Amino acid sequence: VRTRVGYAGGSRPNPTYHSMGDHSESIQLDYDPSMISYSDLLAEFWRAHNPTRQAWSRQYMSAVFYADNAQRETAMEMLHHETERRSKDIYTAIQRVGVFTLAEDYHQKYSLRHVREVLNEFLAMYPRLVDFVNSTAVTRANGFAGGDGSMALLESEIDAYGLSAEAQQKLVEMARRYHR
Amino acid sequence: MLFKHDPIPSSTERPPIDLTAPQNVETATFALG
Repeated sequence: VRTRVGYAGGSRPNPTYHSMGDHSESIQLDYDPSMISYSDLLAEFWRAHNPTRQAWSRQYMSAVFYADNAQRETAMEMLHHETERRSKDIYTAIQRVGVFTLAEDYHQKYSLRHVREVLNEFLAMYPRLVDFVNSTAVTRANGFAGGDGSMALLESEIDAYGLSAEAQQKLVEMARRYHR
Repeated sequence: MLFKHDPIPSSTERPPIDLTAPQNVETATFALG
């Protein structure tokens, strides 16, 4: 439903990109549990990066930051299965989320920043960073601008993003680069 | 046409997909190395 990037897992107050302390670069997502389960998200998490290498700094560590005991238990159980399946050690830390600090604006919706027309229209709708970041339209457009999803899916929902015809065309052109 | 020095005009229009987005959500947080 929504995504945001930021810093988590550390103890330093008010981390920033240039002063991250012991935090890790992280992604946080709001999902609809009736559409996708936490287990499915964990499976995708382990598919999307290589957790069998030990990170050389906390900034780039692999971690699941659980929000409650149910998430912690699911993560521990799946980590066990994932380790067995790969027959390799997995260096994914499982720890409580604690404080998640939103990263600076230029890190948010990074793929969309390459499609200026679309970015500008969304910024006009949502001048405040927090509203821009938490928009489902912005989140989904960012995913398509980065090559996620199919062209058919984009075309089926792009009318609901509130964009002009010109901006829609730019987004479709960007997405199409990944689907040739 | 927007030029670099032009302020971006704000709009009160909200994308339809945002108006119907589920509110009953859970949150997951990961670091992908």
